[in-house]
Amino acid sequence: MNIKNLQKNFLVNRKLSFIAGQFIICIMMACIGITFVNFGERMSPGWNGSYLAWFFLAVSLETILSRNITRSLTGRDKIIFLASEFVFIAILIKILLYFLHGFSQILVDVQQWQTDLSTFFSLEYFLDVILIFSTRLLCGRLLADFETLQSDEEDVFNENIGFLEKDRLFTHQRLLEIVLGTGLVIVFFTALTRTNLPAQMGIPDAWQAPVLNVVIYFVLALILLSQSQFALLHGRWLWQRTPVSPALSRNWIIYTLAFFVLLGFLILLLPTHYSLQLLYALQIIFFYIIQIFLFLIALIAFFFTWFFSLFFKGNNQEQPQTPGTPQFGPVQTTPPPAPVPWLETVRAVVFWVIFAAVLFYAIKTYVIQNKVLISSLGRLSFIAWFIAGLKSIWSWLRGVNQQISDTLAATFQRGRSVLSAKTNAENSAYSNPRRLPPRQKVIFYYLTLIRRSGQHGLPRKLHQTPLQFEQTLRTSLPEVENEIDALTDSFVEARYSKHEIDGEKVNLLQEFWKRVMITLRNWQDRSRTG
Amino acid sequence: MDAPILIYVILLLAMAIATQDNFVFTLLYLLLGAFLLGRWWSERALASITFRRTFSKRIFLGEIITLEIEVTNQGRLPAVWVKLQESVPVEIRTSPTFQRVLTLAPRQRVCLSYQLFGRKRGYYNIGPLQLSSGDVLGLTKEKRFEGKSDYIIVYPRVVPIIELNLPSHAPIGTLRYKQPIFEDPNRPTGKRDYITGDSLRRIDWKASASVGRLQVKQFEPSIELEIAIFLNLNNEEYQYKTRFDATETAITAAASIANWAVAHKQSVGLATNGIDPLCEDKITQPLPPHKGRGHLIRILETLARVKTVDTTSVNELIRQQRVHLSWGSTLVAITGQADKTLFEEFYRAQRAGLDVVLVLCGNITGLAEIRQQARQFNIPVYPVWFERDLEIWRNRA
Repeated sequence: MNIKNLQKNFLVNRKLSFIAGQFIICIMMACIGITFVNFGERMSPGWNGSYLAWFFLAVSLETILSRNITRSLTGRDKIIFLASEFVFIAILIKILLYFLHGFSQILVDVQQWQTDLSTFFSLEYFLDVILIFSTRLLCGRLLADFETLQSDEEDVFNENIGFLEKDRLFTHQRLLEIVLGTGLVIVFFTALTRTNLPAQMGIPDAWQAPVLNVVIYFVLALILLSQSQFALLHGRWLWQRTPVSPALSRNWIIYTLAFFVLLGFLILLLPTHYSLQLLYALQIIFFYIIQIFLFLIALIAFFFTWFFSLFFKGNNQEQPQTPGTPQFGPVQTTPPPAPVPWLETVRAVVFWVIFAAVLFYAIKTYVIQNKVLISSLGRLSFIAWFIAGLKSIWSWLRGVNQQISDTLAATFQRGRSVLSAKTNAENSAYSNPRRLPPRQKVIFYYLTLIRRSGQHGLPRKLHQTPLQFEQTLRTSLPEVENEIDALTDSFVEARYSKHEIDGEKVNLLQEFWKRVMITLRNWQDRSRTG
Repeated sequence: MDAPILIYVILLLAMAIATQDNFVFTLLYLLLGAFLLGRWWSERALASITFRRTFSKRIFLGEIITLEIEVTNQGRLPAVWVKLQESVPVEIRTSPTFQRVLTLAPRQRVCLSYQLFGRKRGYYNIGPLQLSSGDVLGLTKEKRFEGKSDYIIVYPRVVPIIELNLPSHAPIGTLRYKQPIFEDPNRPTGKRDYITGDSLRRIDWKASASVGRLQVKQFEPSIELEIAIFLNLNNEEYQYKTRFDATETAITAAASIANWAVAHKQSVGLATNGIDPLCEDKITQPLPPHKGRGHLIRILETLARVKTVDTTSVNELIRQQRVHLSWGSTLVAITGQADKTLFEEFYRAQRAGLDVVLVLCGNITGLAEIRQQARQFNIPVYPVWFERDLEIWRNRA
């Protein structure tokens, strides 16, 4: 199967998949919005925040629409665009709030702003802005990641396929983490809404928030992950020039649906009601663990307090009290002194420590002196199973511990790499020409042309200028001489001029570049066959 | 379990414990179920995929064959995606690495094919076929499975030889011979008048009675040829620059001689000091002289597998193996160089009743001296620089 067929095959469902993914992200954002609205309405019973959910959806749609603009912007231009977009959204929120609360409030507020500008940011407005901005950033991040995962036909010609593959794997992992992490956050807020904590805080109206939006969010998140996995794999196969079965796209959808149906069926079968008993038991264990943890903290705090009290002893001395007038009366018989509770505790602790030590010593001595007996006991099947089970649990725990520590280390490493990414922006950008600014794109295409022509038997000599090399290429590839002219001229312009390079022109150059690449390959095939 | 998912599950569990809410537990099931079900599905699907290769396991140089792989999903679960990647040595590959991505419904069977080209003689592994699959969500790592390998033998080039005048002392065989000393009583050619000195046993009494004077039977001389090919694959005994071509030419010469011998119903054997990758200690087992197509196939397979190596000289091999050869056999030594010690070994072989032929392959230094020495020992020398030089045995016809 040749590359053209591969690309054709690949492009059939790519666009549809991408649009579906964007739509899913929008709905997910709306679900997040509903969660926060529910939480707000629960914490502040008088507040009606249903508008906010719609605003979340609108902002998500706006993010998708503005994505085409932000994609081509870089550096300062991008920051300016985002800042203006945020200001615009902030003003819209303000207008929306006045629309809901009545426009007559504007006149009152305007007067207040003249005296105290901080009144512009009312609590509701402030929280709305924070939430909307966070959603905008989250939505932008998800869209950018989802878009990165979508492969492009021009990636086949990319020099740094290895980097691209690594980049997309990392992106898929990040998408997974963001989606599930956000899911945890909304579960937390929804669960908080449904507990009796607000009631304990004195908030009336014991209303339980619905959970449908959370379930929808998780289902959509899984669908999005399925989409991104498909895009990731498809891109990888395209780069590896692996012929893919044409039925794969259709079957992927069918089998994913089957997967979700099976999953839903399993969830329905599993006993959530009975699990409450388990949860109760776990809660008790959890409670004791917390108690132990608090005790340790208290112990450490006690030592510190005692240590520092030594330095400030003089200040804490109580004033001597003047003796009062002695009261005389009949002598009362006092009951025998009750045992002091802390002394009893100390005694008990000492007893159990000694008891445990003696027990441990006795068992240890016994085991050391009866190794034969222990080893023969170990051969008994049920004991062997028990030991094997213990060992496997221990090894599993060690493995899990290792995995968690590895993950944490990887997360820290990733964080560090993100920080250092800005300094290496140019290098990373070269791995994906779509991220390059127009000038760098032109240079990238020309340099790739030189490299590829060298690989195909038309190397550029060191002394050749771009125009001289152009003559060499034109002689060998007369059918694309106009494209070679355009690429060379654009390179000279991009390399030696200071004016802006037109983005449209770069898109046209990209087409030229592809044609030259194909012609080069054909030229090599022709020259091989003679 | 993959650590990131484990962390999310633990956090959800903590929330479920803290809130005692059913829906958190449902979400926990959802996440955990998606992970476990995806993992189980991909593992089961991959485990139930079987494959079978169908192809000719022995091909000749320059032959193109089609290899078919039949992939079957024997399970009840569909395999959402399976990537197949076959490792094929570059010497027999016709296109880039064979790889496909399939989607297999339950009980579905798919036939795939690609071509192999016998570009260079050798013993090659086909495969292993690597199958990889994963879940639809990307929550689990890709599962890989390595299928079994097959092998293919590309026979060395065999140049058809019409006539090969190898000397032999073994009388009465199936090959015609010039010297009347090896007359074969089973091959009567005619009669002539009796002359003094003829053996009485050769008189044809019936013919004598009919003609009226004594007639004796005439027989065609014939010999039995038992060839033992000693192929030298010691790297050091070939010139560095032409080593690769010279050793391949030597192998071609050995294969061609063996083929000629079997075609003429003669016995042929092979001993070489090259290595055989299939043998445990890599030492190629000598094949004693035998007749028949089956034996030729064994020789060709050995010649296909054998590789050059830095090892002991061919002299040692001849010394070890010549004692197993019967009297009158022909020892054909194929080597890249002939020194004094080799000729001494040839002399001992001649003393033991063997005929010796020397085939020199590659660019030989001091060929004139070697010829002179060979002439002293009455050993025919055939220099073969290139494969086309094997034509000398065609032209003799």
